[in-house]
Amino acid sequence: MTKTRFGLRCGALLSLACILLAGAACAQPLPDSTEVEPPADAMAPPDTTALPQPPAKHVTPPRSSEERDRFELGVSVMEGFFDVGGSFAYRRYIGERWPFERTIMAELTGTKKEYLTEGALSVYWLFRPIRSYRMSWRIRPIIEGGPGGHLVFQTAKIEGFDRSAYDAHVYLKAHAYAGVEFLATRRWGFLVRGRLSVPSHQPLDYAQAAIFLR
Amino acid sequence: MRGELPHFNFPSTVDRRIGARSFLRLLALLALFAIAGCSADEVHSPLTFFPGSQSSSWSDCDNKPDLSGNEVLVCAALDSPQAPTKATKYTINFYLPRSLHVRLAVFDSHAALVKLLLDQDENGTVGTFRYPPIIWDFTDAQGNRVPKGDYRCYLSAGDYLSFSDVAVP
Repeated sequence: MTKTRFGLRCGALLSLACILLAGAACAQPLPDSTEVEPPADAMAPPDTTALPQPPAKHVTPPRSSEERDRFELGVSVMEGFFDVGGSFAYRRYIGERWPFERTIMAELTGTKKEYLTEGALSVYWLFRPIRSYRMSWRIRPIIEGGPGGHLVFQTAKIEGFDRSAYDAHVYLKAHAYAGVEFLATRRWGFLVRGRLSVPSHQPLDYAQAAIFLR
Repeated sequence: MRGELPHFNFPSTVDRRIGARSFLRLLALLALFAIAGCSADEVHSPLTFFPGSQSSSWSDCDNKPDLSGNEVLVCAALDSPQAPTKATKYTINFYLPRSLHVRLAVFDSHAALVKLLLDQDENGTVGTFRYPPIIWDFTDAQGNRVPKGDYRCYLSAGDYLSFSDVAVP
């Protein structure tokens, strides 16, 4: 029963993603600030007197500020006791080394159901395959994963006794995310993603739709 | 001379070696976090508010409480205090110095209400304790036996509030 409800909620999120993607299908690709124009002499006849050049080193393309920092405001459906939660996140690109780019993300989430209220502060260190997307794409797949630390704080109302109980817990988990993000403009866009956590006894513990501002 | 775009640079052998190494490092890190996380608790699941450390924290009724005061008194015991693992019920006695509204309920370790045992106005107690005592037979509101674990009973009578942990075998 619970699984069916979770499936329905995930389905609703995926439907939202489809609507967003359908709108994006007609969109023009973003100009890629990182793409380099071929040099003017690229089409010129080869210079036979020039010395052979050493092979070019793998170049890390420069990142615009939009590609480095991002704020996300989202809603998520969760497997387990809680149904829906809100989230606010800041993520920052910190570098890359083949085959992954690395990002740090700090996220605040909050949720409430019946007698329980929860707030959580999470910090993630995420790895995303460099070749999984290009910065010129408006629609980008999200495939990333990495460790995450969560500080969870909950309050429980003791029903009928005008009392509350409090507890906090720290979790260390490894997460894998899969989804898609759509850039509506250079500055903002939408994303939909699902999350798998280890160790966990739920196959998919979290599905999220968010608006991001870069 | 070929004009090469940064995105189309294929990684060199050195890059590939570094990539394989960082991939292995990432796997090791994930394994470490998986072990450190060691429990399969979900991040967004109810925490354990009442961990429970004793079979009953309300005093035993055999201790002959002093009933001369103007205070509410509560005592309780498992039906087999010598062998708590064989207990089948939890008997709660209380003394009221005057008429009060009494509410008595059981919560599980996640602070969810399991069963409301009493919620009514009670007259001041005549004699030692209320008769009959309140008995929790380890069932929930639907009458099903609750799982083994830690529970907490709350009792309020007017301004008086007290609780006791109960380990259900």
